[in-house]
Amino acid sequence: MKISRYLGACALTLAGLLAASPLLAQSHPEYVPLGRIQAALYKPDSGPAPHIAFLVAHRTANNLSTNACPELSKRGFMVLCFNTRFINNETIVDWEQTPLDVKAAMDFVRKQPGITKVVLLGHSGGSPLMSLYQAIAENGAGFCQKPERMVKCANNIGTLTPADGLVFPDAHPGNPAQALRGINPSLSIANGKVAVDPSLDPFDPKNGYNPEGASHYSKDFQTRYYAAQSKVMNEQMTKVLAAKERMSKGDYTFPDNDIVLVPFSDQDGSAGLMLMDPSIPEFMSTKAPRKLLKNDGSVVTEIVHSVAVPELGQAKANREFNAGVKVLTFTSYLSANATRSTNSLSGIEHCSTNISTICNIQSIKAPTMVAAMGGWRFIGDQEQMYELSPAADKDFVVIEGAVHGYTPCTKCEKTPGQYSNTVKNLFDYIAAWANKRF
Amino acid sequence: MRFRTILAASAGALALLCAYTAASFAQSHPEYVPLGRVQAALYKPDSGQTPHVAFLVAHRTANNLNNIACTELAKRGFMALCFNTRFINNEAQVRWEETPLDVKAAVEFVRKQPGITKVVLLGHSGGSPLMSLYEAIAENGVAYCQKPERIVKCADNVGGLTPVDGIVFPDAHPGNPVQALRDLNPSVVMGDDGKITVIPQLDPFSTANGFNPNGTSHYSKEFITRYYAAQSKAMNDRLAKVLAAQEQIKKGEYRYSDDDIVVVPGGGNPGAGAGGDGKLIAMDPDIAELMQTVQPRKLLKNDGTIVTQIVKSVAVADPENARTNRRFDTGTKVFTFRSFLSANATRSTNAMDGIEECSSNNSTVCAVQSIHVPVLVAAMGGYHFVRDQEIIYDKSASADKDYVVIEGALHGYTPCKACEKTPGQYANTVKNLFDYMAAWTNKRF
Repeated sequence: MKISRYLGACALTLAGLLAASPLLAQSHPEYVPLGRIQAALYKPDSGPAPHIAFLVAHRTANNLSTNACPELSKRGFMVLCFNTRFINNETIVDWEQTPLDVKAAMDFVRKQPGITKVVLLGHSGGSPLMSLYQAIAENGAGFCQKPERMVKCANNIGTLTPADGLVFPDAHPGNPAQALRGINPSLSIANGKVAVDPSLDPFDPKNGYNPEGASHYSKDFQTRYYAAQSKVMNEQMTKVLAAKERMSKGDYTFPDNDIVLVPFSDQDGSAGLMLMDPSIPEFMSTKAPRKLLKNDGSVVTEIVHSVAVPELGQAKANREFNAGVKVLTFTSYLSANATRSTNSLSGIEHCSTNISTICNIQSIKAPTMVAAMGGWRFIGDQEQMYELSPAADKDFVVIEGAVHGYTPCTKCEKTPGQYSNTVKNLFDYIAAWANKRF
Repeated sequence: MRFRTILAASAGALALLCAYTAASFAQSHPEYVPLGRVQAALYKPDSGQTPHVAFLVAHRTANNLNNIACTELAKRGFMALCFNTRFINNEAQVRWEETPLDVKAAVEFVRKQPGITKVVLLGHSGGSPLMSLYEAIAENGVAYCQKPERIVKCADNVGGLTPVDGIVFPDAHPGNPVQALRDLNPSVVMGDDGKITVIPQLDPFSTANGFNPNGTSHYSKEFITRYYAAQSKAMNDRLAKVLAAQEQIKKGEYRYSDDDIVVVPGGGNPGAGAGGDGKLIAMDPDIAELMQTVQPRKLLKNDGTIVTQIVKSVAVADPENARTNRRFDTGTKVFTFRSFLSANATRSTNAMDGIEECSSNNSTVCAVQSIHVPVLVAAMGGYHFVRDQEIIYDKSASADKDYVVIEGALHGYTPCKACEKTPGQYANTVKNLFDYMAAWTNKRF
């Protein structure tokens, strides 16, 4: 619940923006209110009028000044950066409403003079947002009403206009998968006190934890941990669904909704093993040789390993309320933060929720580009997205040494400036990809 | 927790904006301006002289980037910087004592704009404690927000604020803690087992106590007195529990090392603004202590004339609260220890005249007592703050102060149609308010 946490996914993006402040002198974005969404319209200050518009947004983080806005407008594109109705508040998210916000943005840019192509940019929490929109646009509302979804969208989604392409710079698999992998299953609260199961404690050196550097968890521990994470989520989900049942019978405290706290799991206090142990290959490496866009601009094809360094503050942050506890409601928990699973690595039923990039991408045929940040933790997930994408025109590249917000992972560098070109490399690549197709 | 409730305080303003958008937006193309953790939209007149007066418009948590004041002021020749604080759309996240830093970012930005020589803060609703805290610190230093009586004190990092040249308060409220106190339905009690019970003799939605589900309620003096005292008791009890838990945290004896949730069933709309609450005047607008002035005051009538009289709000009752107050999404406030203590708690003995206003830094009534720049207070005459704003006016330390009531206006400045006896009776509220504000400003600056 810390303020910084709310911008978590895009914190580095914002940091990048501050570094990029001269760009604001180039572009004077116009503030555009679109009903319940807030938008900022960026255009190139010179050169030909753009015919391609990018849409940039996140579920809850402020995206009005994310670095994609000036970087893309600098490269000749129109960019509509917008905030959804759920800006800065995970607790009130009603996920199945979010396609309406993307629709408002889409309808706006389609009407801008000269715009003939629209590309959705889904970064981090923006990836399930944009992919859900496109999956519904290509397949109809039936997509988000499938029987396996825990929460189904309403018919008010209506007809959505498909985009012409999607770019995913550091997409993640979906918030429920993220929430699941963040849970510390060794902790529970009983009678107001915290209890610890030592056999599952990720912050116990006996289990491989290193408070001063990279942890190394055994395969056996990982397997037990992933299964235990699923057990914790499944049990909480069962409780919430049972309470909803009581509610529907008029036998509950409130007639409509209630609070759901998920302790020891939130993003900044995440107990995801890959944060402490960046060597876990399932998350941190590709399986097959993939394109790596190196700092000097050259592209090599190889098995790509993330150069991410371990996070050393998780043991403390995980126990805090502000960093570690998700504050949700029945609505936001079920629609945006829960998934069915048997284990948190390979046992996730991605299509049990509408907030899953991995599920959505399997129903998207428009040209798709996935660009993983090579100094972060979604390389394995994004390779999976790429593999599952049915688009005839798809691409996957890893940006060497970039953190989640595209900026250089200076902590990962062995020589100063080793990854200094991450932002330029990423947006040059996106621009070339878009210009080649559209 | 429905989204629509979040903007409740300014719902009228937003609604009107929708009506205005097409025309005003064509006039003004506001520029989006990121200012660190603040998001802002800069509105300027599209023609005429370059403005030398800039207004700052913001709220603690509600979106103000397209508040009606932005376009109305720009239309009248002013620059308006409309901004959202770092706590946009999230009451649980508020650390009130950090908000002056966001106003500071906005003040510093407009001070640097070519031609700007005067800056006026506009504090509407939750914007009134926001703007008044900034100015009280700017005029008096950080000691103002570190006084011993404050439940939460500010840090030294809010020092060095530049005072502004004036403040306008269109429908200010006394402060969020006072609002939270008066919104609280003290008959709703949640037990340790999570079950809710209702104390019948305190139930504002019981016809036995004067509630009318189909119109205006009439509560007895005796009930009102009992109710206000019970509201204070409920808040004081919660305050004591939270402070005790904070002590446990300090000793390392609490389940979390930093903070925890505070859930207030029956507390009212969990977002910004009113609704879903147990505030008696929402059901019974005849309660004179809050709904009318004590002294004869200026009433700006719909036809633009001004009369001086005892002014009574024309607000109508909202019996819908009986339903929304008992729901989670519309009637249950969700805070943390920090947001509860810093922005939603006050010490009191009763919710009417027993409030220790200066126990919180989130208090317009407290702050105006330390503000000396020119102040205009404009109450909306179809809403709930006519008397509170008379108190704000009375307590203002400014030598140049003004108080006016805009006949028939709702909280968001638009006409209270439900209050009208003849259609269009209050049709000019927005024009009247902003014309008055523009004239007040131009006369001084």
